[in-house]
Amino acid sequence: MKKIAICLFLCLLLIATIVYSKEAQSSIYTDVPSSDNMVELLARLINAEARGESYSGQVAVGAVIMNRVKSPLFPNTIAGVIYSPGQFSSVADGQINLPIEEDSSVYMAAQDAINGVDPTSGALYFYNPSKTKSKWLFSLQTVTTIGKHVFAKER
Amino acid sequence: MEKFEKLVIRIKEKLGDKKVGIIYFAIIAIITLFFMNILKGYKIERQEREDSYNKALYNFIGDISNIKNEMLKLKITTNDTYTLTTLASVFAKANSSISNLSTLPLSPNITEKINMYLTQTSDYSYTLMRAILNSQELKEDDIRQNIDLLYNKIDELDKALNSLYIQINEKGIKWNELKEEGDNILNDQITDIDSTTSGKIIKPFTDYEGIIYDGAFSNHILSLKPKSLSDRIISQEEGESLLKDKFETMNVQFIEELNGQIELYKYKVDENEVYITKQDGKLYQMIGNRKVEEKKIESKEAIDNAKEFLKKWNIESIEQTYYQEMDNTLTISFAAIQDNVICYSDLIKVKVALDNGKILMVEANGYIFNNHLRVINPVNTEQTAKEKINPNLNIEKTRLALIPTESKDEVLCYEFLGSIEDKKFLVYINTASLITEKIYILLDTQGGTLAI
Repeated sequence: MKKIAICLFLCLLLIATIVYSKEAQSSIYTDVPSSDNMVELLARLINAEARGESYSGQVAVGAVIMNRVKSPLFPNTIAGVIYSPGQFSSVADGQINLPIEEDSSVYMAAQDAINGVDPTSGALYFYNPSKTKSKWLFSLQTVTTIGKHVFAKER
Repeated sequence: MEKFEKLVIRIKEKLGDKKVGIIYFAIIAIITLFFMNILKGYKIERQEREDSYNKALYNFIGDISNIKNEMLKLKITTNDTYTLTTLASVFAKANSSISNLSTLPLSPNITEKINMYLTQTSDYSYTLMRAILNSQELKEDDIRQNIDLLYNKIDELDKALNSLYIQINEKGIKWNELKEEGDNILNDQITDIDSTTSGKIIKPFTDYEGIIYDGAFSNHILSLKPKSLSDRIISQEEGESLLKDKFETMNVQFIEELNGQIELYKYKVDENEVYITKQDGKLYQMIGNRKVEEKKIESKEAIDNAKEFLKKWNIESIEQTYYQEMDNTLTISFAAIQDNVICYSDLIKVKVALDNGKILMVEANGYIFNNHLRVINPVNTEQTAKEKINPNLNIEKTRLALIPTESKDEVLCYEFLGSIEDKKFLVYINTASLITEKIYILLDTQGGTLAI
C-alpha cells in the first residue's frame, strides 16, 4: 500500500514537472525590434498588467511606460523600460507572453498611450496595493487610482 | 483507488516479487535521470543569465571608467577639434552605459539615480558638441563648472563600482545576492540627486520617434509651466456646466481632481472621460473606448468633424499636419498657426470614429503647455536660407515654422518640403543662424505619413 502511494506520488511529480517544463519552454520569446513590434510589445505589457481593467486603466498603464521613456530616470526605449530587471511582475513571471484575446482593447490602448494620451497626468509608477508590501511604493504621492491600480509620482 | 490497488496486486502476483522490484527500480531510475536533466538545464540557464549580467557589469564598469578619463581630458584641453572628438566619445559611452545599466538586476532607486547622471552626461556632451560645431559663443566658466560637476558624479560612481567589482571578485558575491550587496555598496557611496540640478535635466533622445505617426515634433518635451493658461481657477461646478454646454448633454458627472504634471478635473461625459484644466477650464484630454466596427465616412469628413469640435473649444487657428488610420478610426494631428507660421510645439491630436464621425479621443497636452502669442521675426530671407540646402533637393513647398529644440526652446526656421529621387524630405534651416536644425524623411505607410 505504501509503495503504491509512493509510486503514485512520483508519477504525479513526473507529470507536474513535464507540464511545468513545457510551460517554461513556451515562455522563451525573442523580440525583433521594429516599430510595429513596439506597439505589440506595449500592448502585451498592458494585456499582462491590466487586461481586466477599464479602458482608461489600460491606457494609464501604457502611459506610465511612455512617461518613463521620456524621463531621464529610466531607459530611452519602450523595450528598455519594460525589460528592466525587477520592474514589472508580469515580465518576471512570463505573463507578458500571454496571447492577446482577439477583441481585446489593449492594442488601441497601446496606440493611444503612444499618441500621448495619459490618464495619470505624468505618473512614473503604478502598483496594486493589495499585492505589494513595498513601503517605498506606498510612500509615493498618489495621482489617481483607476480600478485596482494606484498611479503615483515621487513627492 | 481500490481497483487500481487490485490491479497492482494482480500484476504483482503474475510477475513475482523480483520483477516488480526491477520495475520499481526502473521507474525510480527514470525519474532520477529526468530530474537530473531538469537540474542540468536549470544550471545552464542560470549560468547563461549570470554570464549576461557579468558581461553587462564589466562593460558598464569599463564605460564609466572611460567616461571619467575622457572628462578629465576635457578639463584640460583647449583645442576645439580634440574637444569635439572627446565629447563624441563621452556621448557614445554614456549611451552604451545606460543600455548596460538597464540590463543589471539592481534595485530601481539605485538605477534611477545612476541613469540620471548618465543621461545628464550624454545630453550635456551632445549640447556642447552642437554648440561647438555651430560656432556658438560658449561661456567658458559655465562649461568648466558643469563639466566639473558631472566629472565629480562620474568619479563617485567609478569609485563605487570599483569597490563593487573588488567585492564580486574577492568575496564571490552571487548574482542573487548582488541586489542587496550592490545596493548597499552603491547606496553608501553615491550621494543623492541634487534637487537643484535635477530639475534642469532634459532628455532629448527618446528612440521611439519612428513609431509616432503624428509628425516630426511630437516628442517635444513639455515646458514646465502651461503657457496657454491664465491664472483664473475654475470650480468643479463651473467645469461641469462648461462641459454640459460644449458637449450639449446633461449627462456630466464629476469624478476626481488630479494633481500630476498639471492640475486637472476629470469628468464622465456620456460614455467618455473628459479632463479639463483647473486653471482656465481648457480641454486637456478626452478618452473614449467605443470599438468602431465599420468605416462609413471618408477622411475629409472626419477631419472636418475634428476641426468643428475644436472650434467649439475656441481652437480655430490650426492646421492638420499628419494623420493615421487604424481600426476604422482616424487620428489627426493639428498644430497651431500664428501669422501663417506653423507652431509645431502646440500639438493637438484628435481621433475620429469613421462610422458615425464622432470624436473618440483628444490629446491637447502640447497645445496647453506651449500655445501662446509669439514674436515672429525672421532675420534672413527665404532665398538666403535656400542657398544652404543641397541643390539636388527639388523644393516643392516653403514656409516658416517654429520648431522645438532639445533644450526646450523653439527656433524659427524655414521649412523646405522637397524630394530627391522618390524620397521626400523636410529640411529646417534656422532663420537667424542659417544652420540646419533638423532633417526628416517622410514615409508613406498604410496607416499614414511617418516622419523619421
